[in-house]
Parts: sequence; C-alpha cells; structure tokens
Amino acid sequence: MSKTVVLLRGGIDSTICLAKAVNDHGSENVTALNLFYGQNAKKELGVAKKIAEHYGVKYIPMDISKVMELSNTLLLHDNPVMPSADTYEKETDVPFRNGLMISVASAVAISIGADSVQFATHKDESAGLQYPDCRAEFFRAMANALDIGTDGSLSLETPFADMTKTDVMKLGKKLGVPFELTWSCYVNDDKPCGYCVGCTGRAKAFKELGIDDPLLAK
Amino acid sequence: MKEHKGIVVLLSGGIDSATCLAEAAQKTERVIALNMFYGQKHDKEIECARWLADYYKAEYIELDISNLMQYSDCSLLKHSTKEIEHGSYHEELPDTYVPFRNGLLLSIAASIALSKDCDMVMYGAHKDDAIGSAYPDCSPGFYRDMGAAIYGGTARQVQVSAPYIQCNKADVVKRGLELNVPYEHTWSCYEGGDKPCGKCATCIDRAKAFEKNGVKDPYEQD
Repeated sequence: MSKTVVLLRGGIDSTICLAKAVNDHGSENVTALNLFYGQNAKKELGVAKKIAEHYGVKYIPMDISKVMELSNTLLLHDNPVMPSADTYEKETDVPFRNGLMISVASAVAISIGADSVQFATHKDESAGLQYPDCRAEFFRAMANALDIGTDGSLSLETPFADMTKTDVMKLGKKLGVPFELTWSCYVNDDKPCGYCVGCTGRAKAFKELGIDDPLLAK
Repeated sequence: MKEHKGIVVLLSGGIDSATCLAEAAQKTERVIALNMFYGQKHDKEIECARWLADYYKAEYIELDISNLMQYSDCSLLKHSTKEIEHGSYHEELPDTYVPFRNGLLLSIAASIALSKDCDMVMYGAHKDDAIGSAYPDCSPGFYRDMGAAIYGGTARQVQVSAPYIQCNKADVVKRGLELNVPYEHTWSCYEGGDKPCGKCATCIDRAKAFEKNGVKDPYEQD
C-alpha cells in the first residue's frame, strides 16, 4: 500500500481528510503533518496531535513561522486584536499560504518515501474569489508542478475538490470522525468563542448536516 | 528600463544566482536578495551571498529553513552521514538532491514577494542542472508549472522568472561577464573547505564554464 502525507490543521475538513486517508491507505501508511505558522490558535497544535493519536498515525509537527515573520496579518504574531467577520477574509490572508504548505509537505513526503500529499479543500472554498491559492486552478497548477518537479514520484491529491462542505461533513459522519476532537475557533481559548469566522462557519456546517456540534456539548 | 516594482532573487552565493542578482538589478531599483540556509555544509557560500547583496545594494534576507529539511538524508545537508560523491552528476536523481528544493524555495520567495510588495521572483536555474532529469525541479517544465501556480495563487501579483532556463552554465557566465559580475566573490564548491576542492561536480562545472568563455576563474586569481 502506498504511503501518504496529510496536512492536518485540526479543523473539520483536514480531520475528515485524514480519516479518508486512513480508510484508503491504512493507518500505518499515513503521516499527519501539522504546520505551525505563527497563528494565534496555538491550540491547533495539541488538537492535531490528539487527532493523529486517535487514528494511530505518525505525527510530525513543524514550525514554519520564521518564513511567515515578514507577513503582517492580524492572525499572526499573537496580535490581540481580533478581526471582525467582514474584514476577516482579507486580513487573515497569509501570503501564498497553501502553496507554501504544499511545498513543505512535498519535501517531507519525498524524504519519508511517501508518494502523495493530501490537502483538504472543497468546492465552497474554491468558489470564493478572496483567496487565490484556494482556487481549483491553483491546485491544478500546483499538482502539475509537483508531478514534473519530482519526476512523477509525488502527486498532490485534493479528494474533496468537487464536494461541497456539506458533502464533506456527510463523509466525515459516515467515517465516524470524532468531531469533538476537532477545533475551528481562531481565538486561543479553552472554549470556542462562537463569533469568529471559524466558529460561525462550523456552526453552519453542523446545522446543514442536521446534528449538534459534539464539541459544544462537552 | 526599471520595469518592476521589486524583484526577490534567490541568492545562494554561487555563480548562477550572482548573475541572476546582477540581472535583477538591471530591471529594478528594489532588489531583495533571499538567502536560504537549509543545512548546507558550506558557510563560504553564505559569506559570498552577503557580500554580493551589499555590492548590488539589495535588501538582504537570510532565512534558516533547516528545520523543514530535517527528514532528508541528502548528502548536501550538514546532519547527513553520507560523503559527497566526487565526479559528475548521476543520471537519475542524485544524492545531492534536496527534496523539492526549488518548489519550496520559490514558494517561500513568492510569499515574501507578496509581503514586500514585489512583483517578481527570479532564480538562476539553467539547462545543465536539468540534464538527464538530474534535478527535475530545475527543468523548463517545472519552471512553467510552478510559475503558473505562483502567478495564479498570488492573484497574478507575482511572476516567476528564470532568465537562464534555456542556457547552459557557460552561457550564464558569458552573460555575467557582460554584466561585470564580481565572480571572485562567488562560491560553488559543495565541500566546506577554505578553498574549492576542485573535484566535486560543481567545481568541475564551474571550471568548464569559465574555460568555455576563454577566461580564468577570477576566484583562482585571488
């Protein structure tokens, strides 16, 4: 069975992506890679580790915050000012974040003998015009670059590219994903704030799935 | 003549990137020279990069990304236990292959270009590096696809340029001689010694490139 590297942030989408990879490849062939880039939600680190442990996969945390230190977005550098929902999208745009994360994951994947990198992106995300490195064309171009830049030994997989968020949630439910372990809030606190875009997006996703968020029930 | 807002140049301190830096300085007044340390065994190259950035009045950024390469066993890296092989490059992926190096370096450069309001990333890849797929991430195909990913992924704000992608190393040196690049302040040897070993693949290639231009390597004349 081929080895794969999953970029695991600890949110719902990347956790479902990990669950699918474990289902398809077997846990012994999956490595979860968590990239810390200086975001406020340091909680993500512990969250990703717990999820990786739950699935019994190899876990690699990696700090890429130095690369991001020139960036000045509100999400970074422990800036205490939280963006409001309407200004959020622009201000949390870490420059070329997805390109960077996929490149780092590729270097790791080659080093550990994996032949694919999995990235959780879905149709609702790529439809938005705000983030150029979330669009389907970007992932296609990046997949081509990976293929040719590694002489065909590594592929980029975006298994949810043609699915809506609700479809992804349904798949997660089917795969028995422990949603209570996932974290979406951007505030570094014990409980989700309920107001940031991470929280409101998550609430909407559970509402559309028709179940209560088990994290809030805890 | 100065047609760019700003250019980020990948500057290792070798002759290709030094020539590239001179090229960028022709095109804009705002050059950012980006040197990335990823565990290479030679500090000489970094000294050269610093000197060159200063010489061309470029803003100089040094970034240690060795932690991103910690799982690699490539022989160029300091923690590797492998010896650097003498002689020319292999036909298949050589031991000196750093996994997806150019993909990673270009992505980082693109991110920094966006942060620093630059509209171009330039690097000195040339034809000889891609021969026999020795370094697939130096090939024209990779340049094209990675360029497309960066252009699209930055909302068309950052272009990737590899001015020597169709040139061989001798052509690069020819261009550099036209631009008066101070090659005595460049370093190519893969070994970390005080003087170039003269035996590793890059030492041999460097000597050939100067020889083909009918000049003596100015480093030797020091």
